[in-house]
Amino acid sequence: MKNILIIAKNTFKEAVRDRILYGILGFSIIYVFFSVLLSKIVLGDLVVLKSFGLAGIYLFGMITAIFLGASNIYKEIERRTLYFVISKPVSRLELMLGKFLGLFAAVVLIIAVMTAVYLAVVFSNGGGFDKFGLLAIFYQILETGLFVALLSLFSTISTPLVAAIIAMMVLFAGHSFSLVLRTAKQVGGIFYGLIQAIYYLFPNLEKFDLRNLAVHGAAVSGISILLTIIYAIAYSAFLLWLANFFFQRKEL
Amino acid sequence: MTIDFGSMAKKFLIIVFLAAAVFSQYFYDGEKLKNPPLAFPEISAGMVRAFNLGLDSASAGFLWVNGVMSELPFLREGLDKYLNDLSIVNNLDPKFSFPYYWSLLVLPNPPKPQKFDEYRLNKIIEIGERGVKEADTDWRVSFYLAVSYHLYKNDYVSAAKYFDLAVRQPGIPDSIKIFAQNYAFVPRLRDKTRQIWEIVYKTAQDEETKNRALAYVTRFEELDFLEQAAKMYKEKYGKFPAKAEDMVSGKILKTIPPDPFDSQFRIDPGNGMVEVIK
Repeated sequence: MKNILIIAKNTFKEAVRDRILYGILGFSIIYVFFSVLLSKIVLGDLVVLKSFGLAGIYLFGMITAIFLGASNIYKEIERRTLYFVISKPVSRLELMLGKFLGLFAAVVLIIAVMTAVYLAVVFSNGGGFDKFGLLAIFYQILETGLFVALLSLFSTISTPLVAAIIAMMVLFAGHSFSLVLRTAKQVGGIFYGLIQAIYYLFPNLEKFDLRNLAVHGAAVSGISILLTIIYAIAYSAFLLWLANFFFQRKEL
Repeated sequence: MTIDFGSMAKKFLIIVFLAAAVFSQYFYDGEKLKNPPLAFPEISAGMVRAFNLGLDSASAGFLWVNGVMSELPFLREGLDKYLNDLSIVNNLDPKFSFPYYWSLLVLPNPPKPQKFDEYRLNKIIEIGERGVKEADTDWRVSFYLAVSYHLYKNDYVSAAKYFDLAVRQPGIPDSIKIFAQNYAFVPRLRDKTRQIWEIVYKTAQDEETKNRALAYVTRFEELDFLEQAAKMYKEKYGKFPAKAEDMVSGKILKTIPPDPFDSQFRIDPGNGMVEVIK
């Protein structure tokens, strides 16, 4: 555990030193303020302000995860810094988990900074403390955990560019499974069975999308929150296990 | 002195390539103008949903701010195009109340305020009914739907029903709440309508609707003013004037105030009531 935390700490430090991170953060904060201007067009309508703000936090959070995560393991192999680490009494599993945790913490930090700006902007525009927005961001963090685990997996088996492209495809697909399933239901037959199998097996990211409800102040049940947390932890654990499986077999 | 023809030829070639690129773009644009590409098919909420990463509410807000809202009241691309775009916004985020009440308020602003076609009126009511069913609890949706029923459909029962609903919504300003609560008890239809236009004038945020509401308020003031003048005419001459101009010739008024919508006033010689005619 100690090894995991040390690697996580170093990965976190390395990630927050990355200049690209500050670029993304700067753009995201400008975007949150820009959403205030957009909401002024609709006479300060809070729904617009909140939906644009939460969408910005989501998109920039995911961009950060892709930029940092796609090369998470690959970079270490390319730079040959991995050899220094594995020559010490550190297992590949510990290395994998440490890299995952460090990167996840860095992305969560970025999300937290954007959230602070978002909450201040909503509060100063008369929206009070946006507790539903905060819950939506908590869901986003769960999704980010799963997504970083997915990127860790791709990072072990492919180059950063390929990992980023596949991750983006999974991101889009993961948010449209219900739509595809509905269409498949109309077609029916084996095709519907196949899509159903994909629906349950592949990461379904729609359940982490609470933003559309949060902007209207609609709550979700405690059970659904619990099931979403379980899904995120279980799927992330599965992806990390898979990443470790490939990483153990990788020739360095 | 030697001339390096090789170097010159390279420079010349670079200029030729750049010029070729510029000219081909120029001619390409010319060709495009001659053969305009086929219009991109109308997007649907489903299409937007397939690519928006689940950001339905933000997509609805973006589409609304970035085009649909600015179509009102001019409807440059026609009423049906507006209705289609609005339905995409509504389907993406049915709870987003702003497009419903903004449409209820601004869509009835035609170039000639007195003329409404039945199709547009029915669509306005449809938008409002959907808003009441699906949008966030927002007093403006039910209030402006009641206003539409009263002003354009002359359906005072439905108007009373939605005014009553608006009263029970959070955030309704006190002055508007008092009017909505007393809607059914205001004896004269004209007074009800006048009060409605006064509220629309106070609450509308776009200039077009404000100006239209103000014109109606002015018209109601002129009607009251002319009826008052007709009573003075009767006191002086023992009978109501046969036409508005009689009050000028009878030295009750200096001039007849012009109607804001350029219509004419008609006086009922039997009771001195004034109404608007074409």
